[in-house]
Amino acid sequence: MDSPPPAAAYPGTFLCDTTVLFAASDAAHRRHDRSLALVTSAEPRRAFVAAHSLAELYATLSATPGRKVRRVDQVLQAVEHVARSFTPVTLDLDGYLWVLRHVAGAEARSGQVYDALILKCAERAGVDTVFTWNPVHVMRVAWPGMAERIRTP
Amino acid sequence: MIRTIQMDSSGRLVIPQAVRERYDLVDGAYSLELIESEEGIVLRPKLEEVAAEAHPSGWIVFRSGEAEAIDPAQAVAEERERRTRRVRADG
Repeated sequence: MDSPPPAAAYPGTFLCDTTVLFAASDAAHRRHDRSLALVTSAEPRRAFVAAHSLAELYATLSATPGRKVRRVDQVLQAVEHVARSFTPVTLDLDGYLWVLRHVAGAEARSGQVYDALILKCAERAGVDTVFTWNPVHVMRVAWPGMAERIRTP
Repeated sequence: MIRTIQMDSSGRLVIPQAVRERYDLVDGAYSLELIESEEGIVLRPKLEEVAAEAHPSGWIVFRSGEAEAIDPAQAVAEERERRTRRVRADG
């Protein structure tokens, strides 16, 4: 999954999951440079993000583990920039229910449902590639037609 | 919510686990700010503000620590776990 070319030069359509957006948003993250190179190349006609990831990015950036706090006005600014740089993708009720039935069928639990929601948005957008820093977990809930599109930046 | 807790003869308090989880005071030792007010004593987590700057592209980049200190996949997974824990604690 870590195959060339580097994601920053990726020519196709793609969706970044929350782990990539988060890694790009803080210089302290492992993989920050590769993530930032990818997201700064994003333009709405070929770069997509699950609407769920906007909320999840806000939640993760505004959390306070380790007693460090990012200002919420700056967190909001960061999330709004993502919403402008990428095309946000939403699911309707049928889409949500399809995902819930799929994860139950795969015996996936807890937060894995969010990976599946993001993957469903990628399918809906019809992207060539889904970028994530958590390919093992995302593959766990992937289905035929989507599993082969998952890779790291 | 008002809770009654006990203080021992040395002044030590135990914050209930559900409250610690709600305020992310888990998995380690933390500094708390103790504020004396007219209404009584307030305890709150001591927080350090993270610097942020705009990349030339407009992307906001925070600097919360040393390079490569955080695993993004683990951080997102922990936030999902905190969310689940909060729902369980509130239920």
